[in-house]
Amino acid sequence: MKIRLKIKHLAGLVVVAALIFILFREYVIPRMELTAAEEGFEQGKVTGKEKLLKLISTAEGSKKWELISKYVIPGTPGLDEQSYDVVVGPDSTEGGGVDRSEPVKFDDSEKLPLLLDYVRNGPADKSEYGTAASGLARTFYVKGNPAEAVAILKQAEERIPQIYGFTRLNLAIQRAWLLNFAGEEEQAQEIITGLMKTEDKIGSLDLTARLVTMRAQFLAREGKLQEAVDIVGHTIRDNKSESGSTGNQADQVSRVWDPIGRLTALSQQLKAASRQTNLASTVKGRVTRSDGTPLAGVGVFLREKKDVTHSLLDAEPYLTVTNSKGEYEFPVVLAGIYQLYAGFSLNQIDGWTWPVMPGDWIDLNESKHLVKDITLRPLLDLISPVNKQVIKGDSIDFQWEPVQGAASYSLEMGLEETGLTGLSIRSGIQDTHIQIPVTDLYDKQTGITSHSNSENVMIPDPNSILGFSNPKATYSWSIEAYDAKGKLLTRSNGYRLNSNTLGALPLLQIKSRTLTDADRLLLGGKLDEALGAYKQSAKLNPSDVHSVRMLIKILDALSDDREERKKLAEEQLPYEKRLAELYPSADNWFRVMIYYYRHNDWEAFYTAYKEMEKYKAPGSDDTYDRSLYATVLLKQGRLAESVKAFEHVMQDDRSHRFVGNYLAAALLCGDSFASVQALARKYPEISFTGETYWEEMILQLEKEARGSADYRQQVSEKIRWVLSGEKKLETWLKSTHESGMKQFVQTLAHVG
Amino acid sequence: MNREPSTSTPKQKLDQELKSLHFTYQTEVLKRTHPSSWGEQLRMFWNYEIEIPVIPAAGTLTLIAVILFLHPWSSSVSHNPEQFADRGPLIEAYGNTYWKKDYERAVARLEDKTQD
Repeated sequence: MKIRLKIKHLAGLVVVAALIFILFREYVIPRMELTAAEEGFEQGKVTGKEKLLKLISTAEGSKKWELISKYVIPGTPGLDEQSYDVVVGPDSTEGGGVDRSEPVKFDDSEKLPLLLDYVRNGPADKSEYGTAASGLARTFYVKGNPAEAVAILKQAEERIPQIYGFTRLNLAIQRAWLLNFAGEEEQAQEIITGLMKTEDKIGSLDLTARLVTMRAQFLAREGKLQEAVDIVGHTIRDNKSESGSTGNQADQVSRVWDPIGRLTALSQQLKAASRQTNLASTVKGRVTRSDGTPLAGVGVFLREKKDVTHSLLDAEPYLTVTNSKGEYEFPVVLAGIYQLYAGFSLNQIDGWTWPVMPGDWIDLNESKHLVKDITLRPLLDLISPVNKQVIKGDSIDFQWEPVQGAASYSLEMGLEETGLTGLSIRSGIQDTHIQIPVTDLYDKQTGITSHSNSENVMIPDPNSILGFSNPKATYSWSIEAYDAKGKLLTRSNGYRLNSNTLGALPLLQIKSRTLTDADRLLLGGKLDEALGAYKQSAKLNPSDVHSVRMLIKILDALSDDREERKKLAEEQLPYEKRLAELYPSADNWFRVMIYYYRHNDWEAFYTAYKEMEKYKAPGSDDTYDRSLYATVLLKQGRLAESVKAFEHVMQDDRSHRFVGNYLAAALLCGDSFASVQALARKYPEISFTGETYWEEMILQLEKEARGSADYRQQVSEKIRWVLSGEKKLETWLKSTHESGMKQFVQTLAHVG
Repeated sequence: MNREPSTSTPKQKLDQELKSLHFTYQTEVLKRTHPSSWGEQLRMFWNYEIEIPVIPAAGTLTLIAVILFLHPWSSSVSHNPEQFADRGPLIEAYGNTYWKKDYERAVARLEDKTQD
């Protein structure tokens, strides 16, 4: 079949086709591409990102701003936002803020021109505008251009219409913050003082609190502490009703998310700082990899004692970010005790670790200028046994890659089925390999995990009772490397997110023993039957270590209330002694020792303590044991010996957990309140159960003692009552009007 | 009434009827049949009638349309798995943090090995 037509008609058809084609290319296809790119971007495809960038660059007017505000601004944290994939600190690592599906993000060089365009020419009345300006300023700052960052914020403030006062003010505070970092303190001060004049018009308690906090810090740096206290106090009074804060000061301080709670804490801190030799310090440092590469854009946070127990809050006062050289600085930090935390992106932390030690506190009461660097080190690699290797012999050969500069290593293990990790197996290992007898692992105290059943009754997990004696279980292991001074260098555990860092799985199985019938009963959850079977075996074969060990553990697992625990402890003791004799180890003798400690049998306590010392691994942390020893000396009235023992422990135990007993010993020795107060200041108690202000309490005792002749005698008597568990104490606590002594005695009763 | 004798042939009759019509477009016709100038040639080409076989032409057109319209976004539909960042979520296993899919793959490899 053929059709006839003239050339001119053909040409006409071609023109129409071309017009349709142009229409498609210029309008329909871009629309479709946008949709495809948006979908691709949301699903995390790289090409989607490229398409979006191209589309934004070709788009005009409001369409362009719309695209930028939809896709570029949300992924750009502002100067006042803390958005990091991983937040690492001495006592916790938190994978926060990660969008778990990890969409493709624009990098800084892609975002910068777009944000710049938006801040200079985009709609300043949109809510995203402030975020864009803050994010852009942050990007410039991280790239090492603080002057440009300041200029951007200023320009943005000028463009934002007057009615959006909140955003303008927020940017102004950020500008002051930046100027302060850039060493332009005067300009920063000028902004803050200027804004303070309009304080009553701010209308946002959060911003007011930030403003006042900055002002107070500046004043503290100038030594005008009273003025700082007044300003903070004034703001608290003015805004108290607004925040809905009620109750006493201590309650308010614990409300870390509430601006008034924060200001109350600040006021206390300012008052406490006035007792210190220096009111405010500078803390600075660099964040680098161990090869010297600086890390830009790392969040650095100096966190107060009350803040380290919760996730990072934007309202915390000391938060910053590193610049292009990896540098950070806190120009004004009030005297106090802090922990340094850092926020990393997954790219920064993958395959690396920041070897920060637990309980690493920074005491700024004394140092004026502190330099604290953060150095990331590559994760250590494990060699064998890995990938669920099966162990059948009497011992396990652990082997790992050497770490440069390491003087010793420590080995930790975990029980995969129960989720228990970090069980210390050996420390102070000099080589990059070690042979561990399986019997040592069987003897390891693993702790017992429980889960609640359908009736909400806690059921002990048999896997955790059987511990390392279970041939069916899978175990994990890890290594930490330390330098000659005992400082952590690196570890094998960390973020392993690509094929280079993934490494072998640190898993093994121990099939050196077979399950007994009693073990099977235990694994089947029949704890009582298993207990009976173990007792039977232990009776028939007095040297059956496994059965003795298991029945002690089952008794541990069964004793869930106080009364029962007492009864079961009596039942456990003969077995504990037998286990310590059959398989003598520090852990096994510790159990015997702690029994006698609780039952005030001092002679038996000393015997068990001596046995325990024989088996203690060199370099292991024995501060708790030594604190108990010093406490027993105190309880026996051997005061001079006790004081001496405590003095030694305090130097090794950074938590100063037993400092209350030390102070009690010093008071009983007749030391003056002033010298006891000095001890309390020297060894502040740092624990997670809450702060204990021993120094404050001693000050209160001293105040109450004035004008009362037998006060010291009263204090000594009450301390003795606490130490001997005297029943009269309860009646006295209820009737006494001496609140200082009451608080001290009550707190002392809870030491340890 | 004087009637003319009807002696005229049809030819004469036609001549007479067309007497008032004069053909003056000879040159135009000649130009078209025998174009000499460029414009004349173009015009002839413009009105040239061609015969197009339907099936091959339609086929070619479809092909062109497919190439023109589908090509532009073929690049946005990528099937390369390397470009997918979708390996999440992150999971924590015995102190390490992995992408869930990576971890499951590694564990599956172990299971395969132990079965061999």
